[in-house]
Amino acid sequence: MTHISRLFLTCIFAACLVVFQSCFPTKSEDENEDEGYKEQKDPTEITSDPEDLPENGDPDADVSSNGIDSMFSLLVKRVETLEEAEDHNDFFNKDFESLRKGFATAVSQKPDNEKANIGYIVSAVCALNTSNSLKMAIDSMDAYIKAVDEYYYEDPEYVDYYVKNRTDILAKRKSRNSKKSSLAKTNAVFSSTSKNIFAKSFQKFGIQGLGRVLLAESPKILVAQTKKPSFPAFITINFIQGIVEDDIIPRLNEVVSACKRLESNNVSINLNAFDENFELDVGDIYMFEAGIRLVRAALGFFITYDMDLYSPDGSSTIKWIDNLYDNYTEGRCVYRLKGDTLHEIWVYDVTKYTEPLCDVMQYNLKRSGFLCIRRENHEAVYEDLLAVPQLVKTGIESIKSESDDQEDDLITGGGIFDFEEDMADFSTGMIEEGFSSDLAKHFKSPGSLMDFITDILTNEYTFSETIDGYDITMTVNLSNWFTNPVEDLRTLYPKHRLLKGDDRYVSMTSVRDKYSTDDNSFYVYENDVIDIPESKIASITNDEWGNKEVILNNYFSYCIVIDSTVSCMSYSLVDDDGNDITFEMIEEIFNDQQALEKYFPYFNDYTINGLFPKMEDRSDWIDFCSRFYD
Amino acid sequence: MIQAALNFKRPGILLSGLLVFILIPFPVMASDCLLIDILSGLTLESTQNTLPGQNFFAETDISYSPLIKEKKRSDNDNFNSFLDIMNGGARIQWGNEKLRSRTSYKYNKYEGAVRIDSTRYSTCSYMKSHRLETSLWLAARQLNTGILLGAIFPDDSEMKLKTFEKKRFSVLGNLYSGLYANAMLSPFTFRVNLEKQPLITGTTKLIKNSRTESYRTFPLVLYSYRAGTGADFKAENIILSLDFSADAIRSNPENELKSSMPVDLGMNLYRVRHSGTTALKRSNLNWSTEASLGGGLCEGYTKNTDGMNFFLADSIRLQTVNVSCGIKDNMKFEFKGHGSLFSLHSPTGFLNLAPFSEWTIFQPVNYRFYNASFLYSDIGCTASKAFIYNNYTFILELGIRYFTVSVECGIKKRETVILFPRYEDLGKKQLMDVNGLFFTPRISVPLKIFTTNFSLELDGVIPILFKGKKSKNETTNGSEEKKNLDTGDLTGGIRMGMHLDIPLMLKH
Repeated sequence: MTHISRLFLTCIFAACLVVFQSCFPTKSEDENEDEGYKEQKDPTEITSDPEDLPENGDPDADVSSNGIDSMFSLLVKRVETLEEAEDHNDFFNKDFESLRKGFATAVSQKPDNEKANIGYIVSAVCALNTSNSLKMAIDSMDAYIKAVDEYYYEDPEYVDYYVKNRTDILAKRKSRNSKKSSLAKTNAVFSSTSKNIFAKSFQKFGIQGLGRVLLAESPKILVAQTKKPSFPAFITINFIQGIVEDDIIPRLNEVVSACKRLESNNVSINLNAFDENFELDVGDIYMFEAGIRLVRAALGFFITYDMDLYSPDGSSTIKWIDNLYDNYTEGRCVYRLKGDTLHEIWVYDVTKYTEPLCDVMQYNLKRSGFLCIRRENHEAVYEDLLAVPQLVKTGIESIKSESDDQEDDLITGGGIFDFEEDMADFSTGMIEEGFSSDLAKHFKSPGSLMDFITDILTNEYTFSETIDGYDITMTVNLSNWFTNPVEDLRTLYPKHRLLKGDDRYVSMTSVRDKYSTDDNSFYVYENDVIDIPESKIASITNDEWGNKEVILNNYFSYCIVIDSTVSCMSYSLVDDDGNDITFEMIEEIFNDQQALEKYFPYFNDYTINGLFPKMEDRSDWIDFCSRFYD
Repeated sequence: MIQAALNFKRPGILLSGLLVFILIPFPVMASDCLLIDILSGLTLESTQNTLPGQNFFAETDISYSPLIKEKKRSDNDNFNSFLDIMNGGARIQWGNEKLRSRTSYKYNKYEGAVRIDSTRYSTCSYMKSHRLETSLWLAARQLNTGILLGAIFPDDSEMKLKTFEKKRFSVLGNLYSGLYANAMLSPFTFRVNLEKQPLITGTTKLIKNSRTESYRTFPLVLYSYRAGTGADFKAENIILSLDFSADAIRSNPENELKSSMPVDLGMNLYRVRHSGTTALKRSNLNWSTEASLGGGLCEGYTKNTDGMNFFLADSIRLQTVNVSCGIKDNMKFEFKGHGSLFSLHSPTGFLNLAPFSEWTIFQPVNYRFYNASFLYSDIGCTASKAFIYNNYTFILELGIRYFTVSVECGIKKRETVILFPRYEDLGKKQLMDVNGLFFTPRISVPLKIFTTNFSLELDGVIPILFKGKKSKNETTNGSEEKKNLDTGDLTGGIRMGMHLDIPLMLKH
């Protein structure tokens, strides 16, 4: 199986893992009683009605023509000052809310006033800085990230771990034959610096040297003793979804309504900002609205499903993150000699690290409501997605039809679209890359691309291309995802069972690298194990940093690097009869076509809720994946 | 294009290309392909404003210079850098004591291309034209007056002047003319001239590397309107001359091509030139100095000059200085030292890439540049010696010239803050910083068969570029980041040219 096919299969599985995050047993053995979950399926209010005028305006605002001009000038000045902002606090400290209220009053009294609507759009977007929740979340995350950086980068153990694992793993082993002396010594210097620094300083410089080192290292030691930073407890996915729902989407609704009003009035206005005179046309507004609708669609989808990862004690905080780094276990290497092959076995025990994650995953997989619909936003999201290509197309047509001077336009148009060839000729480039002309023709121009996007959003589309010699044919129906939404995303995941007790601890072995060589020596570090009979070892010498160079009696011709990891797993895939499909079996799929048939995961719905309507059963996926084997 | 310039890996080709693109307006001779020699097209030296001789004389010349032909880099390499120049012409003059005339025909073909490896685009320039002109002089005792009338016909299938397309071709649209007067008040000669001269009818194309056909075409038609005056002084052992001129260089927008993006250039140029020759004991000493100062602007449009102005280099300042001094002894040995400086500076301008891609509607790509400058300087010397072997004369010449070329400008890129555009200063960028040597060997063989003189010449340019010069990119906060411009290897650049001059002396 080639790299490309492995990559493709990996992508499929990875996509499943990432998108659906986790799984749920087909028949759960012990579902949690969920106390915190309350079914909330009402859709979020996502609107695009130009008649929706802002209500919470400033009743004292001067909405005369001069008043709007004055507010607009002030708005421009405040936006210009954002250029000097050094961090998010500078943004949050600017007052855009009063301007937004002023423009809201102006818009509600004069819905057709172009300047008032544009001012309202800009001030409404900028006034997101009034969201206390958003500010609190950003402040807290900012402080947390800084604290984590400060803590872990100053921790001598972390420095040691970082240097050893990053530098040694990359360079130490494989390169030893060609450049082993210099590299190994360099690595040895780094890896042993912090641990041996006190001993070496004492040996070389006596008590005075040790004193100096202690003085230099004391800040790090003090930092290491301080309390480690905790993740802000209030920041949960539900909290972020709340910000989106309460603070962002309503503002975007108002912006879209203002765009609609400007479009219906066929806006064309000359403005000045950042010392630039520019013209804002209706085409610019169409394109802007398309961008806003796209963002709103993404946010609408984000708040559709319950994705909170509760702690195993039932609290909705993510405090389990705090302990993840502390549980990391350093790996060691075991050397064995089999015939003329040196086995370099990297042994990792990551159970301490993965156990808390497993607990979190298992708890949430059993939690009712997890990955279920919390807001029925599919229809509104779909509507926004369908609107985007139409808006772009209308925008392009509008920009194309402009006949005035284009030099100061926000988006330049006019006669420039009459050229027959485009510099960024995606279409030709795709054909040169091997894609079919049928697919490439959709990328000939932005307009044709928008038609194509509309087509695949509304109809079944069969992708049939030969890429790198592989025939890839797949029918997708994106509309099914939105018109017939999945109530529980866990139902889409492969069949599996949750692991309990000792079953959770799984050992996995894989060959990382194999290469030919012609050497009789290797370097060994502090925690490494030499599992080679003494009779085969000529000598073991210590270098100045306390590491060992092992010289064998005979030369070895090959070196195999093997990873052996013990980890904690939350579930195991199962077949229709409930038999386990282990990690090794899954890995075998990538190398052996027979294994594909045997171990390809079993699903309840092979069409993934109609997203791939032609993939009706397991054999369809096996047929599809079989094409990637040589 | 900015990105192309930033990524360019072969400065030798780029240098050649710059010669093509920047200096295409000026007449180029095969032996004058170095940058500063191309500039000599601007020189005040002119054969037009001198009184033709009385004898009946005909001459013809032709030269062809396949100067650069870049090697293919792969089997699919269908477009490479090249530089081809071909010039030819014939002149007939006749006259008597009162009336004299000179009629000439000229053909100029100038083709050059620059293939840019690191981008998908290349450029190619063409300048091909036929010229027919005649001058008529009335010679009095001390005052000679002349009139020149000429016409230029572009030999470019793609270059169709609007007047051609409309099938109402008017000779007047392609005519040029001049008025001359010389007053001889011994030992002085005073000269005055008024001219309208064509500088170029050429096109530059932007081409995708994967194809050979044009992607965008930039036509340029330039005329020079010149008013000049000068004086010569002749004494027993010395000749001195001094000339001044003021040129108004203007483009002719009356051209239109398929997918064309016409270029409009307007510039005023003021020049002064002094030269002299004096006889020493066993040799002659020659010298010349010339300086010019000019200003103007260059603009590019979509479709026609009523279209969108996508490029502007405003308030251009051009300065040139040429100095040379040589000595030629009676043993036919000649040595000449020379130095040149050419500087082009534009304090402000902009580039909007929208006409190059519809996809810019998703992300408009607009740049402004400031303090853009192009600076070329060189200093060198040339030595030549004539040898006689078996009754044949061979003139061997070797020149060496150290040159530096630098291009830098400050760049601002437009961003959109919600609905407001603003330009972010990306700092000063050094687009090119190259220096090196040019060796210019030449051999020429003058022959005389019956009454006809032939001159065969073979000359070349061997460039050696120096690598590893550090360039500085100044960021907006004032700090300077140094980066090593990868000047790469010069795969092209060796120039070979051949001249064949056939003057024919017809007995009166």
